[in-house]
Amino acid sequence: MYSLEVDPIEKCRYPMEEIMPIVSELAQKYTGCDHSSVTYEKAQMLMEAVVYCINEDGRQEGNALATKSIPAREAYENGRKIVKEKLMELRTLYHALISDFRDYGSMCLKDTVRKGIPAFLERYDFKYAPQETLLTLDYPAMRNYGALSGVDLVLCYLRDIQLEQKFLHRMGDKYIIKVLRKYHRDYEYLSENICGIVLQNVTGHMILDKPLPGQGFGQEELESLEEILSDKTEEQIKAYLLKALERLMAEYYDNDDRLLAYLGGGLSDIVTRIKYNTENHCLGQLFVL
Amino acid sequence: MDQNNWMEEMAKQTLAAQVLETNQYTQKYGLVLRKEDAALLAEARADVLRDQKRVEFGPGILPKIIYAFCDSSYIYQDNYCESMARLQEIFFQYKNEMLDEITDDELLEFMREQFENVCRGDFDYLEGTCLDLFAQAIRAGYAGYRETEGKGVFEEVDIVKRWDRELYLEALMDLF
Repeated sequence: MYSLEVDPIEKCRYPMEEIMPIVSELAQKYTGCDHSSVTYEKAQMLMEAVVYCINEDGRQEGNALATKSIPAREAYENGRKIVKEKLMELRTLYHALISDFRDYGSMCLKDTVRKGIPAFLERYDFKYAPQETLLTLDYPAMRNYGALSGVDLVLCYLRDIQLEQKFLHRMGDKYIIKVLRKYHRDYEYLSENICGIVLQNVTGHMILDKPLPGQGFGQEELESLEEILSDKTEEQIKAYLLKALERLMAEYYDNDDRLLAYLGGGLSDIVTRIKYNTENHCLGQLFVL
Repeated sequence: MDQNNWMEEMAKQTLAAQVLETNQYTQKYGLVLRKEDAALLAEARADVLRDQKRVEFGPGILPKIIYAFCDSSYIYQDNYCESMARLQEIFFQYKNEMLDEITDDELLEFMREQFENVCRGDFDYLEGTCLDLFAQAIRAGYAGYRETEGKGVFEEVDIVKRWDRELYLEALMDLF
């Protein structure tokens, strides 16, 4: 008997004999009355679709313990409904985002959001392949999405892009573009997170308590930064910057916890680079404007 | 018996029962399957699905194959079980070869027509020539079979000059 293997991360808590009838029904709907059999690949896809929806139901708050007590079919139907709702939420979010979306010249960001997301919305099959992400999401967000896939992943991703837009809009397009240009002459062609580049620059201002936008960092200021940072551990620098970010959120971003969490998540990499550049006396490569 | 084996056994038993039910119709053509034959065909189905890497959900194709071919001039009681097993094997093989572009009914219609009129009961010819040519045409984008549900399309893809009855009669008239 063909054994349909499912990704270990997405293993289902229901036994095969409860899932197979659901997969069988889905397969018959998928093929209409035209085909009595499907290839292994198709069967695998449909199995993963069922498991994805069941796990979607399990991920809902409060369902983790209750899931075992409801039949697999009910968990699947609930999960499918949730997937459909998330797809609608993604569509709404995209339309809200795109009305004031700025790519600041980044081709990667522009293509991912303006072309990639609409392509996903057009091609995503929430019935027969909800687990498929379809996109490569080339523009890197400042978050590790782990094993997320399908509409879950794209929705989380777009929410993060929305947070980035909120952060960047406050600073004005001219300033953002200046920082990016100073960071790299051809920043438009980089596949780097532009929010992270700007945030990195802002940390220099936060450490020196230097207002934005300013005229950039002079030699004395860079030396001052080096002196401040040289005897600090990464943990200490991160803790300080987190506090500074909290103040920033309170003053300019109506205490947005989600934005704080997202930007805070990007600090680890920034702090590592700060520490390295401090040791190598090249903080000017990070604090560019 | 582990979970997979249990489910496989259930599927075999279900198919064997479905196959035995077809006797009610096929017996008028002198074709009857015994319990052992039904079990053999169910086993053959499991083997061919595994070989062709396909999964059957719901009612299988075998009863349809039986109903489609039971009135064939080339199938009789002595070769009935073996013929059904062979047709089943050929069916799944060519579902794959045709990339699932063709429906079950269209493929069955084509197979039946060729088996009866071109292959004259020769399974090797059906598998190796008629279906092979047809599969090549479908993979290349041919879709003419959709209008006719698989009927009368072989001429469009055939590469062999076949027997032409009209030409034969004309030649006969000239001789006499």
